[in-house]
Amino acid sequence: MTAASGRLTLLTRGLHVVMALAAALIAASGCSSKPTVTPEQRAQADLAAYETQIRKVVQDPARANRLVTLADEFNKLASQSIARVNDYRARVAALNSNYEATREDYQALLREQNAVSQAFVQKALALREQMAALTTDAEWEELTKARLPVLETALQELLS
Amino acid sequence: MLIALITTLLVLHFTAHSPAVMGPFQQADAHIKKDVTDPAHQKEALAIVERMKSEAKAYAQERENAMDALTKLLAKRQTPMSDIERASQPLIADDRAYAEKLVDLRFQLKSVLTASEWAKIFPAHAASHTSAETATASLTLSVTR
Repeated sequence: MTAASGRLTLLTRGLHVVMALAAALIAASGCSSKPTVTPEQRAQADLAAYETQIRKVVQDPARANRLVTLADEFNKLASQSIARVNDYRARVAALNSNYEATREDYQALLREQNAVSQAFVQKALALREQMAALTTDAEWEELTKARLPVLETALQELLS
Repeated sequence: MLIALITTLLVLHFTAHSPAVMGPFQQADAHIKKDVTDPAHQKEALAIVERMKSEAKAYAQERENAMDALTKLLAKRQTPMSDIERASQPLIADDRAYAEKLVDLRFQLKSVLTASEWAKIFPAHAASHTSAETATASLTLSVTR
């Protein structure tokens, strides 16, 4: 597997998780009998609504465009994170099941994940810093009200 | 902006190890009672799993508190990256320490179980199932934009 195809696989897995969760949420909320709204459409609606909110709050088109791009990058980063965390958990689960696994097997995996997480955190903080630089305090405050529920739920599910 | 999402994403990475390592041990009790026939070994194994759960509970509370503090920092637009990094250090340190404890306990558990008992309690297909759960549907979320 090449690095590019590996990344694509991880991204796809993350998106799979998001959509599986969205499907579960829709089913749980009793919407399963109304197949007119698919999980994919809900996720896309979240993103569209968020973009609209940015453009409503930030009147300057240039800054708004940049913020939309950053929000989209953050969205991708979150999807990739879900994939990486799930991949990591699957690898730990395999070690947990393996009676012959050694302490060094665990240490190596933990070290690897430390580096992966560190890279994700740095990217997330850098994106946040750019978003902060592009907004005023009032705009920032106003934009905290806008959410991406499908993605947030997927991330929350991993934390619980 | 995106406060909830950013907070959750960061905490997910700051605390990546603990849920991963703890996973299968949460439900091990029933299997141990069923599959470990030696009473002494069963008792020891259950005590170890109980310690794992106890550690998990304490850790979850600490993580919750740290998450609240982090959310407050992230909510302020002008909070510098260095402050966020500093606030994250206890979370990262706790996660690593807790994961180490769990790994220790995992090997203690191994020491009181045979390979065949282990295979029944923590079957390999459960691990592969976890992996398979991550690939259940298909969608372009951000990539369609």
